[in-house]
Amino acid sequence: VTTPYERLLDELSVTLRGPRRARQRLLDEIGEDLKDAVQAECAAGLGPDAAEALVAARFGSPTAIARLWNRNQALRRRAMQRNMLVLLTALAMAGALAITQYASGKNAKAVSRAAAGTGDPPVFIPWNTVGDIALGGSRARVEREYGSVGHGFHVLRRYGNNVQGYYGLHGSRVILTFYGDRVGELIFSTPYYRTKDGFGVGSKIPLGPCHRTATYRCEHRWHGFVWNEWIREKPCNCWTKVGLGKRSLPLTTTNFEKPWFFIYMRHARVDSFYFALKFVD
Amino acid sequence: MAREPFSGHLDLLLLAALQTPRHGYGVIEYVRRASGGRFDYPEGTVYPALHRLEAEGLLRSRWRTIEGRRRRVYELTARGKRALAGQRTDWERFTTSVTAVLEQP
Repeated sequence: VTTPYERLLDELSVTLRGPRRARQRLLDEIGEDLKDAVQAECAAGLGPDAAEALVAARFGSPTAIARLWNRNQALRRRAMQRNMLVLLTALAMAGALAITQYASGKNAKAVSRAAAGTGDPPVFIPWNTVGDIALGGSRARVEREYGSVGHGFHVLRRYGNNVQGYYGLHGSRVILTFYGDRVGELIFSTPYYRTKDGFGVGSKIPLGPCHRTATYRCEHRWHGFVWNEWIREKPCNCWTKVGLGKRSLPLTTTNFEKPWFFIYMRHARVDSFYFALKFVD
Repeated sequence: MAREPFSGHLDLLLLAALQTPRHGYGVIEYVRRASGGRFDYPEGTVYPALHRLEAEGLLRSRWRTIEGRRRRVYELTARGKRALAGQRTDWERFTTSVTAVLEQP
């Protein structure tokens, strides 16, 4: 035989919706509080059965209570779903923003790297290529990779169809002169670029044996270069080579239109390189 | 001001009752007694309201053992205290306005 009080809790338990834990908590809470109510009525003079019946009647319809509870649970669930939707939307937007920022940052890094030169290979191919810049190579290609005027290429001077400027690369200036749409001159002093054997700025070049010539008693040679030619009425403290042959052509005006190569020395080590498609005084 | 001040004052009464921590039945008894028996809510309607206010962050509750029995005791949160102050002000403005209108000749 169930009491009105027990019937109330049973009916409530089957009509409540929502999380099991929340429902159980509500039933436990109501059960304990109803005991108080019954005790209070008993203390007021009612018998136990009458007190339980009165309390159950005063409690209200379990169906109505469950409807109220269920509505609150539904509202709460919808609010949570809405919050979740807002959260997911925010996360999606943040993700999209992060991807955009990452992509633009990566792009900016690429531009910056190109401008800073860290994207170009540490390659030095004597006496032609530094990084991705080749003597006689396309200006457009260089500008695509390293930047154009005002975008990494800083103009030093213009003369005729030529533009001389530099890229700030690897803590130094890599100076280029564009002869029209070609790379006409290339000067660099950074040790970043090396040959596959490790030769580059800072390397030693031995003077080697003397070669007696019609002009000099002692001419030092190294890979077709000649040591310490006179340029502008004084020894250049450099290795020079004119032309693309195995040995340097004479440094005369007749060879001004040939390629010229200079290796400047400092304390017996390479200080900088200068390559040009032709000699420009 | 609430659009339905007379039918929507249950929250205000519950918050006011919980200025002192109470369990559900204690809240019902307090409201009934303090109102001179005028606000005698069906007990069942109070519990869903308490749970809703707790979900809204205006109340917090925890099980306590009182006289050997586990009771769920509610109390106001800081947000609940601010809400009570706001609702009290609204209610006072409302009653003042109504009184002012009633006292007009």
